[in-house]
Amino acid sequence: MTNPLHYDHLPYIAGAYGLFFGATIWFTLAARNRLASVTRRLRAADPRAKNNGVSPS
Amino acid sequence: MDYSTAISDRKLPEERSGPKPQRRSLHRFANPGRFLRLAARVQPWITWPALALTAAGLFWGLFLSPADYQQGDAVRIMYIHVPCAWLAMAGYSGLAFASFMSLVWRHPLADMAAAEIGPVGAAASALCLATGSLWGKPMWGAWWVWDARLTSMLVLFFLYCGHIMLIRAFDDTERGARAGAILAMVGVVNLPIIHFSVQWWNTLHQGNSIGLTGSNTMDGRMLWPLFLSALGCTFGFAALVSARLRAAVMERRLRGLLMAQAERAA
Repeated sequence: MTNPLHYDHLPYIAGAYGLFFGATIWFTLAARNRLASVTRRLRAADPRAKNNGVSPS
Repeated sequence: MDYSTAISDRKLPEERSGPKPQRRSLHRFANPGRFLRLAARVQPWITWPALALTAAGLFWGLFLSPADYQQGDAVRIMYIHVPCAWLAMAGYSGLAFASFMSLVWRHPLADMAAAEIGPVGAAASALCLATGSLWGKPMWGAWWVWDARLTSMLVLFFLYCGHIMLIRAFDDTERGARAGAILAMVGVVNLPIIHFSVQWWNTLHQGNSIGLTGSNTMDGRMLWPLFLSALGCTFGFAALVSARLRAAVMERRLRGLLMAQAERAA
């Protein structure tokens, strides 16, 4: 296994991977929070709506 | 159809009409209620493989795969750059397909799918451009060149941005969705231009290294981590879009509920 600290062009590689992981984490958290928020509001608006907003029928 | 005015109870219009014979077609899954049930069940089966495959591919690419004989370690940017490019193009194909479904069958779930694919695809194309720029600087000595491949990918990013803005530019959401769908359909012409740009023009960007017909010019020790990373990112893209689409369907249902409650109270 190679040591990444010894890579040539390390700042470019770190920048690219940082952007990728940053964007992935941001989009994942945004989707998760949006889903949790709408589920909570849906349950508050209609107590019968359970199972993540899926109608029991 | 605008759910916010059509809903008078908890169910969406597609769900309210009594039992129908189940058709073996894509329309079966376009029912929002059925989609929610299916997507909630499928979500973990695409999220966890996405995490595992991407982690494995990137670990392999970052630590175990060899450096390139010409490009050195900068080639490791490929393991995220290529999946982002692939997702930007595949995502646009999905956007165009949803737009086609929306234009032909006027199904609101297709509109919502197109609206939710847009931002994720735009992020993939922006990441492709940014990581390509970070790869280009040490290799070409320039952050950007007006090369056919780079320019056509930039056009794809603008198409995504145009779609995101256009569907929100009208008070009537249906009109916005239709305008966005037309833009998405027209923009499909850019996909073959991106793919064949390195063959049609003399570009600074390297030619295709991977071909479906076995014309690979890449060593297996680089190809496998790239394949794993691309597969993991594809699952991740699907998981993100699925989660966003579930949220969008529920938001629409919530709007309908609140509207109905307000009407009853008035």
